[in-house]
Amino acid sequence: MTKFRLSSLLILAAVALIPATASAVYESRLAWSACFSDSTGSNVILDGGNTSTSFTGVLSCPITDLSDIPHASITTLNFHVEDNHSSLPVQAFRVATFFNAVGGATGNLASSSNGVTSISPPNTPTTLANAWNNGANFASVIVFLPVNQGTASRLKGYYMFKP
Amino acid sequence: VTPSTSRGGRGVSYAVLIVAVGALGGALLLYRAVRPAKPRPEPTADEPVASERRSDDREARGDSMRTAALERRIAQLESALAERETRDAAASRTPDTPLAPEKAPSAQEVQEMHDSLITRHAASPVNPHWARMASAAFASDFARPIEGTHFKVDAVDCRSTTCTVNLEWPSRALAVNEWRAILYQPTRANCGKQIVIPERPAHESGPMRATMFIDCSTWVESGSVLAPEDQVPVLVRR
Repeated sequence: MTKFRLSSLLILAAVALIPATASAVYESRLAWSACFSDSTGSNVILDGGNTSTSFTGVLSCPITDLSDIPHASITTLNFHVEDNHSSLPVQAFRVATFFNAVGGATGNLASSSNGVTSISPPNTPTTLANAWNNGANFASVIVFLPVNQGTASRLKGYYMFKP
Repeated sequence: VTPSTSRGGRGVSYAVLIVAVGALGGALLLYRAVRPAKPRPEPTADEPVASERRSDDREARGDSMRTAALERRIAQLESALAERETRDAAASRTPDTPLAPEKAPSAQEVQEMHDSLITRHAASPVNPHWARMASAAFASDFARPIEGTHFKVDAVDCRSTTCTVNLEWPSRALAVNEWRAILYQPTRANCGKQIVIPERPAHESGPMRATMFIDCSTWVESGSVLAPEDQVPVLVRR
């Protein structure tokens, strides 16, 4: 009986382990500090938030592009933000920069609702999708942080998922 | 909000595979080592014990079958591991090799694809109402000064779901430095944009003209509602 149990357990372990390795999914999470501030002047990003009371803060965020999680295979792209402006949202859009040519393409804007929330810049329109889905091009996301009304709107980090 | 715990990658898969092979191998050795000390299986109701010798034979046959099955499984796992290592070694790249270079169109091909978008735009039918509204909005949006840039907007042309904006810089060097500024310029219409700065021989000088293509297909589908002027982000750029 014990012998049978041992054999069964070993086979069960093997059966459980093999599909687990075959069906691995990939995720990547990055804090706001992976991005760089793409604006100057009186516009200062502090702890992911826009300190300027006059100008929109601009962050340029790199998208993970590893052999296990190439950017073109990412199906979920969430930017976790704090929207603290009474009327202006945090906005984000995708950018694909051409590998061999000077230029690039941008996508449709995604806008936040007020409070702690997330936004998912879409892989649209088709012009952007064609450039984004080419694995050789470079992928990033631009985030617009509205002016500071006393409490900064900020980017906390972002999440990428490939099934 | 999406859950955000890390589940590892290929390295973890390798580790799991190696641990599984090791565990099975070790378990098999352990199984063989402890076998003499193990009690015989209890007889079942429909399989009564006939004799001591017959019972030993059955046990030996069962053990032999289970051992063979385990050995087959170990062989399969070892084979899978070897196959994966071979595949990964073949796919490995030197640090200077660009990712998927075989998929990257040349500068000329990118320019041709961009030009074909503009040609298709020029041949597409005009929706007069939409074209007037979108042209006016983009002309106004791109007229807003962008600090530290040197381009001028020559013409905006909109049709039914797409627009083009003709731009001119004093030199190609300035165009190469500043194309992002015009591409990222916030607009009241939520459209995608694409720009390609044409190649030209280094010895050629003079103004550089480029055409930005604007794809409003998804914006049109959602009703073509312009954002209010006071909602458009105000940028200060390098």
